[in-house]
Amino acid sequence: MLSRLWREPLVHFLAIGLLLFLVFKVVGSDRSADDSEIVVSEGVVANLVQQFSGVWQRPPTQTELQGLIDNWIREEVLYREGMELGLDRDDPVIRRRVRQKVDVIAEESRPSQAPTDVELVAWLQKHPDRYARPAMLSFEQAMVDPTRHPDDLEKATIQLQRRLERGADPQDVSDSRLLPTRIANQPEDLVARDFGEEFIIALRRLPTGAAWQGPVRSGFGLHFVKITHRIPGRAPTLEEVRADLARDVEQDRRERSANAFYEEARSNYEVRIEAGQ
Amino acid sequence: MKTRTGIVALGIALMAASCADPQGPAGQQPAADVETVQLGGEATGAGTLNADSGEYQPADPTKFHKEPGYSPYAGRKYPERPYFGDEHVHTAWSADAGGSGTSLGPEEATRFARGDEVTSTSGQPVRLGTPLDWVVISDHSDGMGTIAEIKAGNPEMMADPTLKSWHDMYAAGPEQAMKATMALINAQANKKLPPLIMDPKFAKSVWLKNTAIAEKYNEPGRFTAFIGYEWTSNAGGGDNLHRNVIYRDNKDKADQVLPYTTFQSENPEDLWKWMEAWEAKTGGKLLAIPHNGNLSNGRMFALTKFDGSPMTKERADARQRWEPLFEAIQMKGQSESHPSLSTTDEFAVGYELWDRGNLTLVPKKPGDIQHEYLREALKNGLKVEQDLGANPFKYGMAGGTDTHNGLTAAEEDNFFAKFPNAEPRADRWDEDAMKFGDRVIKGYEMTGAGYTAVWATGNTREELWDAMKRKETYSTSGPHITVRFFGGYDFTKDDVSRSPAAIGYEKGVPMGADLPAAPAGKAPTFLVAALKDPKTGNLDRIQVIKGWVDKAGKPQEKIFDVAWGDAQRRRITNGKLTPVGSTVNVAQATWTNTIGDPELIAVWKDPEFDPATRAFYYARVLEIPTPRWTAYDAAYFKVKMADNVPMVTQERAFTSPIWYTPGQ
Repeated sequence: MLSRLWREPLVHFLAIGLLLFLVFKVVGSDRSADDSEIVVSEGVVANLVQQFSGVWQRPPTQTELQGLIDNWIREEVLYREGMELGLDRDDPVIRRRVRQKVDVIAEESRPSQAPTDVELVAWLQKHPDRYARPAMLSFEQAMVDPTRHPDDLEKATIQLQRRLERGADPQDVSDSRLLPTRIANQPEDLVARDFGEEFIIALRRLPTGAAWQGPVRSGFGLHFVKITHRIPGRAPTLEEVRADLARDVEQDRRERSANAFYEEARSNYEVRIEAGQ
Repeated sequence: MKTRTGIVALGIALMAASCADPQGPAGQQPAADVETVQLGGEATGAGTLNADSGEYQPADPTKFHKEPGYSPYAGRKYPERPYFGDEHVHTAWSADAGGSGTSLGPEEATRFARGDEVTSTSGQPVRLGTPLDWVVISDHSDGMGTIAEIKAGNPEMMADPTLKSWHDMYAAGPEQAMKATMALINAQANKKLPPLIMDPKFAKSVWLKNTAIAEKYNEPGRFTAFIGYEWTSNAGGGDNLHRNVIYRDNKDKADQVLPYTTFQSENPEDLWKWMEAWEAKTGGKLLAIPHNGNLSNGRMFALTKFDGSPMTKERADARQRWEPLFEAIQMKGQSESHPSLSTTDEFAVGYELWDRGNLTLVPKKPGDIQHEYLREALKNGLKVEQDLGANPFKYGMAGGTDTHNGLTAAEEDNFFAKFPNAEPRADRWDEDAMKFGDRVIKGYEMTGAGYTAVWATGNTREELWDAMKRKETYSTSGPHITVRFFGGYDFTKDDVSRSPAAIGYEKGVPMGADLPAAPAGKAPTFLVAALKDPKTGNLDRIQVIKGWVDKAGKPQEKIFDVAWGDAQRRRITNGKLTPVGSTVNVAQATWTNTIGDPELIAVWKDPEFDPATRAFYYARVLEIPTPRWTAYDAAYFKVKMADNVPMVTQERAFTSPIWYTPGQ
């Protein structure tokens, strides 16, 4: 019976409440007069009004404002009680929240001047792959779905090739109704999303021209492909990627700034590791 | 005595806080005891949506591709491809995510979604297998950081000599800037901060930073970064009523008003009022997507208003107006169907069910479950519409991850889970994903899902948003499966030999739309087609799920298998299709695409159509069995998991319904 009682959550609550009460008795006995005063100043009210108005685009009514103030007082009372008990200490949520605030402050302490062209070009030269313009592809394709030809795949493949070579519309002879048969000037990486990596890798080896080529394998089946136009991938001009570069240089600054801040702050502490090595 | 009561209460609060759901924002308060005041008038209902703004004219799918011409390619106005994205991503900027140690902010999360490699909070390099086309970073917004204002030289702040001196230091180069930051932190620690710095009007800067990041990464035509946030209502202690609010517009409009928070109210009806007021003020457009009905303990699709009073037509209209989509699957399980409600649905059994309680795992009461799952809500919505003349649950389908580590990684072989402590590690399957007392969700129960596919005419905020608004969307459990679904009265078997989009828009309406009135003697026909993700499993089958309310007012459903792979060897006997089989090698986490088909297409006619009965139809596409993320974990980390851990899954997609209303 007693052991069952001991497992009751309510009993836990009461026990912890009692414990906190005792702690409070010891720790919280010499509270200064200042701490027991809660002032609802003009500033507090103005803040509440401002917060409310920011969301609702109108000031609160008298009833609403009374509710906001009551809630603020309640929060302040409980917040102070909690702080008095040191409930903020070693609370992982509060620790991380505070750390996050400092991180934001540190990040924002970076220089805010727009990056110069020299910086942008240097960044571009350091990360050319990130900004490379993808190859642009225009092609037609039709496919054989192997699951529809368990016994005569080879025959079906040859037949598809012949039909295409005789000028059939790929839309009419492809086994797929959903895969696009004509792709016009699409970046290679987006084509890869639709057709899969392996298909794109195979396409890179095929020449441009009027001939149907293949079969090329994809996650769907076997394709014949006519690459009508290809613009090779290239390095970008500064103008093309100026905005991206500026954005990324800024982000790099933020990161550096946060790290530098940490290093600086860290140098004020001596860290002694006592735990067993 | 008074103190003691207070302290006991505090003890309880402390316990509650220590087991508070990691989802809920830290420091969340119950709503203030303020009277809810009407703002901007009552919702006017979906029918008048466009009446108030001339500039907004969404694409009308019934007008897609109706004009005949010689060239089948010229003048195509219909959506040609689905755009895959996640409408539900939290980063370090969400208090709960930051509180759990997440180090990736909105910028890193956006970069990850668009395909960049990043380093996860736990230090592991990670990159998406297939990048997304769009993302909504749906952080909870709150105030921190006013430095931007100081640096920008905000005139009001510059009147304060301390702030002015910091401003000058920030302008004087990195070294001085660092000193200014130190001084600021010091002042904060010693309670010597100039009061102006705490003014909430400067707190707005975080929201502005947020919208600025979305703006920087939004690349129309290639990658869409929406502006959005999550409104996180855990009414009554963890009943999940969360909504993601998604902006159609850009920063200029989004910045005019601070997001709504649950500090103001936990009642979704108030959120809709706020949305209405926002639209009235800015002339922009918003929509909201609720999620995790499965954790709402009967409240997500309750047949009453929030306060328990009876549903009204106005309330039902408002819900339909503001919430076109529902997130039916995510990392905390699926809310599409439950086996106890859909008793004939063999694919609902054991599929990613988080059905033991609410967000704090308070157990459900009998009957709760009927108001938590979308399929049941779609049926109940028909009933409400019959009775009140408005359908509160006319939802289309969305999917998201709800990740809290900034990584929208829902791929089974690339599953980075929800919180940093559940990023890939040998033990994560056996640890507690959530724990409240003795009520536990185990790590292996986390779901590797999901995304929203949007049939839009292009990859821009406006086009994607408009498609969401008209519900031309479907949810997937992760794979980029392509699904077309059209309803009309004239689809015939011959239509499967043409491009489904061309014929579908010509002869019918797409997913998310309403069927027109039934011509005498005709029953609805559906054209449905699906194409596998090039990377993942072949397709097992396509099903059409029909729901209606019978004469006695009881919700009914029936599932029809309409197309399946390996057709030459599989038959329907006694109403059941031969299972597709499995090629999964669990030990090695591999499978082969030697069963199933890469593409399925069919025309299906409702054999039981009753023109006098309201109904909805939606398609569900199932992949062949493939390894679940747990199997990839077991193989990679060489661990033996308990026998009850599911190691195989059938990935799937469910489309928005098409509705039939008598006499419409």
